[in-house]
Amino acid sequence: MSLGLPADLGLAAASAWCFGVIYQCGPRTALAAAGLAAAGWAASDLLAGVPHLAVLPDFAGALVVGGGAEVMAMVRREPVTLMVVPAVIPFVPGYEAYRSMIAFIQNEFVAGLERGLSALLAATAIAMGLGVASALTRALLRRLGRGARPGQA
Amino acid sequence: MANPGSKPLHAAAEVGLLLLAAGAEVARVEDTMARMARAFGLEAEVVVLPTMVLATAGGQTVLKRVRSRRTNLAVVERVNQWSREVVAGTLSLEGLWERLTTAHAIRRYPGWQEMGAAGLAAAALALLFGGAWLTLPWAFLAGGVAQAVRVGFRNVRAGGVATDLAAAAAAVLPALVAASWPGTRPALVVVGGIMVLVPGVLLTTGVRDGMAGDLLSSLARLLEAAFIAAAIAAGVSGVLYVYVHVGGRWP
Repeated sequence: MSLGLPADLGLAAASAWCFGVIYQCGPRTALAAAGLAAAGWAASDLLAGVPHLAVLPDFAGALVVGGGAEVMAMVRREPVTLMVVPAVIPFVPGYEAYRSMIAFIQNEFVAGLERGLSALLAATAIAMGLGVASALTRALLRRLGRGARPGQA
Repeated sequence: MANPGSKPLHAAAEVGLLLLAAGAEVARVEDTMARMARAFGLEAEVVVLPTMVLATAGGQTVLKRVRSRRTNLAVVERVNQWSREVVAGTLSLEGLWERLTTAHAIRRYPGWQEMGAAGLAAAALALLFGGAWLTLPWAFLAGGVAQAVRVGFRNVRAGGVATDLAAAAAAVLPALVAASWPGTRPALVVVGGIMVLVPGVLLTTGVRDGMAGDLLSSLARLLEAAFIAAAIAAGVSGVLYVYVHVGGRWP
């Protein structure tokens, strides 16, 4: 049962902010991660209603988070990891992974494998989204002459 | 005590060690080390592997082994700032050494704040995944307990996958109580609790290392993330298996 898109965006942002604290990011960095998580969730939600897209919503969400984090890192002159890690956690397919575990405990091995594979596919889509976003954004920034500055990787 | 002749190289290697242990990606560690060495007048070759950093310049080589790793993005942030200061010439080698001696203690938030944040994160995620309001306090408890176990293990300097296994097992306990509470969804309590334990830094840096061509580090990190995921699954499954097989009610 979803609480509606605005509430979901708020919850995604809140969880990303909390993960920022768990990973010891600064308050402003955690806030930036919260904004990225909400933007990514909105992109993912936009595609989630379209049938037959499988893990594309996860990919889109991670793409927005990854691309946004690269740009923010350049603007704020901070490592990308600081923003991308807390922001991407809400997309991790924890529920699917849990359902897979439960199926195995109940001796429903086929269902367990099916759900496990779903979780693995979603995780792969998120990884691909982050990777593609990083490669594309860096290439674009280099083209615009906004690459790494002294002291910054 | 470092050899004065190779002190800049030692400083660069210490910085690399610090970054790698805190969870920075290999490309960043190598780049930061090379920039720092260059700022101190050394044209260094650096190699960073998942468990060691190696820097060589002017016939001298420094090799440092990573003995313990602990994700701490505050260290990555702080060292990034020091790197800028060194390159800009506003931080001397002595000043950098001084900061490096206390760098292991860098923490922005105390353990109790981490636990609170973990509880809130678990509660927010439980709601996000479709939980009812009654699920919220249990999920908060699950996240808080999971992080408390992690902080406890960290404080006694214990680590490895045993931490994640114990934390995952502990995160299930509030869900077992919630299972007999009407109107709650214990499944989402568990999910909220274990999401706190997701090895986010390892997964993200593993992917980024792979994209940067640092395949060895990428494989090592993703393998470590897989071990942690397996430990979490074992912790959760173990407790639930016993609970269900002694007649516990699990919806």
